[in-house]
Amino acid sequence: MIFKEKLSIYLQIAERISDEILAGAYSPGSRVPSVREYAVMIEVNLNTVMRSYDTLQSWGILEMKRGLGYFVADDAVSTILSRRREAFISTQAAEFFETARSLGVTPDELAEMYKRFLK
Amino acid sequence: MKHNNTFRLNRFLGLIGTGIYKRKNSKTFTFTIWVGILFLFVLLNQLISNLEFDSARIVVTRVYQISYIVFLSVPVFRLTFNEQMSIQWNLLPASAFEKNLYSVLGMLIWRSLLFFIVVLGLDYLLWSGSPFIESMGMEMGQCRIRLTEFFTFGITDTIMPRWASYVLVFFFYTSIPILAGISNNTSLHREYAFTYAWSAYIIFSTFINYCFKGGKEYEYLVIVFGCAGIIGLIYNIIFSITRSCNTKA
Amino acid sequence: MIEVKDLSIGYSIPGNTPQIFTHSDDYDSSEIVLRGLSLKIESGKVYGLIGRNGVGKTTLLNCISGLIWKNSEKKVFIDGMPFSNGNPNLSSRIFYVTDTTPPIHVRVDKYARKLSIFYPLFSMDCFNECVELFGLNYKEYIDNLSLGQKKMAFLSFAFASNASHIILDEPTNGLDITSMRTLRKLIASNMTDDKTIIISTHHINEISSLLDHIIILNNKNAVFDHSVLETGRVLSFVESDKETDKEKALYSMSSAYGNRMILPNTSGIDSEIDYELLYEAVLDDSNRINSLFK
Repeated sequence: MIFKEKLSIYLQIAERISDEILAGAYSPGSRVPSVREYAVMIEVNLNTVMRSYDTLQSWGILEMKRGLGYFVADDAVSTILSRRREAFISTQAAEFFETARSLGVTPDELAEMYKRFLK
Repeated sequence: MKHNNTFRLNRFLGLIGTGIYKRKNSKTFTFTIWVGILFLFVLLNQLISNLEFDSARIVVTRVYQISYIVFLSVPVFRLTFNEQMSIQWNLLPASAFEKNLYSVLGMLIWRSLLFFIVVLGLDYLLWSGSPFIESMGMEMGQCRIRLTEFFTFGITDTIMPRWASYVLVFFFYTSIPILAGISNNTSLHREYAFTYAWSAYIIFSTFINYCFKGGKEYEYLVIVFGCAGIIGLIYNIIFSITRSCNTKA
Repeated sequence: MIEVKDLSIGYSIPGNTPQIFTHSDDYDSSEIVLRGLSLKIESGKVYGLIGRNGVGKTTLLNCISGLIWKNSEKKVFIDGMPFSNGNPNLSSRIFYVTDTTPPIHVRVDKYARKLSIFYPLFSMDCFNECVELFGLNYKEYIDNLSLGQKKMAFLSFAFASNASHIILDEPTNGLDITSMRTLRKLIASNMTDDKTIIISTHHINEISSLLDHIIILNNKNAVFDHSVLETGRVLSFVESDKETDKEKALYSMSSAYGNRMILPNTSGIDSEIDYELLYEAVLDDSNRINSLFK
């Protein structure tokens, strides 16, 4: 019963770069590969990667320094995490709760399961 | 983007070297007809040398020379490609004028230069000190022969690689003294000898192309002829040396 | 920039060479390949040209490259100038890698040097780089190369030519996986604002990540001519096992999971494009799909 809508490539790339930042591949304040370098690396259209970088810039995850390239914002990690938290709550959590409701799982059972998981 | 005269000249020279200018094999029928007419010219040549009146002889010779060149040059103007080569040729960024100019002139000049070196070299090797020698040097007759040779090479390029052509020509040149010796004809007319060599070469190459239809067997055959040609060359040199020694003695 | 204006190509005698038709020509007794096709191919973009076998992709590319032309009717315009064969100023802005590469008896490096005479921006450095990446032998004769190697040689010539319009007809034919990756990297690294790359292919998925714009040919014309960006914005490509969704779909195809469907995009988030599904949908009913684009 899962509704799968795939994100456009440029959004997937933005998420991928966000993943890389979270994993520590690019630390805050450091330079990320240029648009062209990244496009060649992942074999994707230049304009698409450009759009990804622009998107990340608009989300405050990357900063562009004219003449120098794109850099990871100082607070990138927290920005990414808060964006993902919101996305989780609005989509994945909603789906999960929908499934839970249809299977008759009670809120208490859910809380118990989560507590056990966290141990 | 500059398209001035230097660039045009570079393009023209560039067209010569692309190597994509290759003509499709002509049909055997056309070739046979062509070779048959060539035979007529050979006979006509023989006729000329038998004419008694000098002025008539000169006129007929001139007519023969001009028509020989024109006739042999016709296949060169028939530019047919295999399709793939044709596409690449059409894609090359050069003007129609440049490409046509190349087709008509460039190839001929290029081949003529190459040929001059080979044939004159062969001439020198075979004929100096030979009993069949006439005066060396570029008479009008020799110019004509050189030109016809360039054209005929141009044609047989369609049926065999150039090196095979050279080897065959080499053989036929060197076979002349041998044949002359066999037939006891020491006054083999020089021009006739050249015509013989070229006609024989064209006929033979057409024949083996027809038999082997472009297969690799003819290359082996040609190598055999090459060896025979070398033997002929050695024979000729030895003969010339012994002859000049005898003369001195 | 390449512009095609109202192009009609056909064979007046079947099996003969294709010609450009004009309004005064006899359409009915001839075999028409393309009818009234108009396209605008902009710089700085990678175009994907897709369609069935025999639909006219190669014929169209042959025409754009100047192999099919008619002096009295200018149908193709390069950078605004009418284009026909024999114009080196415009021809040198195009490098066309044909589907079947010719068996030229010249060494790879020598041919590159010859081509550099005709393409003023030719870069031997770029050529050397391509040859290294593809793992070719410079000194080999072109006609001695395998199908894939010949393709790679000509692709190297294409990128090295620095022509502003690079046209590739089925470039992935004959390439192994590694070479295909090299090709993708070369396409990615050679794109600039003033360059255009047109790729005609059956295997759209192999190069889909590189495309800016898709053109689908069918029924003697271009039935789909939109950017990847707009397509992802206007259409939504989803996979669902809910049968009810199928009713809302513009087109659907069954998959192992459920149904792959195209729906109008209402979420406001760009969707990833399922090219195979798009292609089938367009072939099925192009008007339905096109009506969503402005």
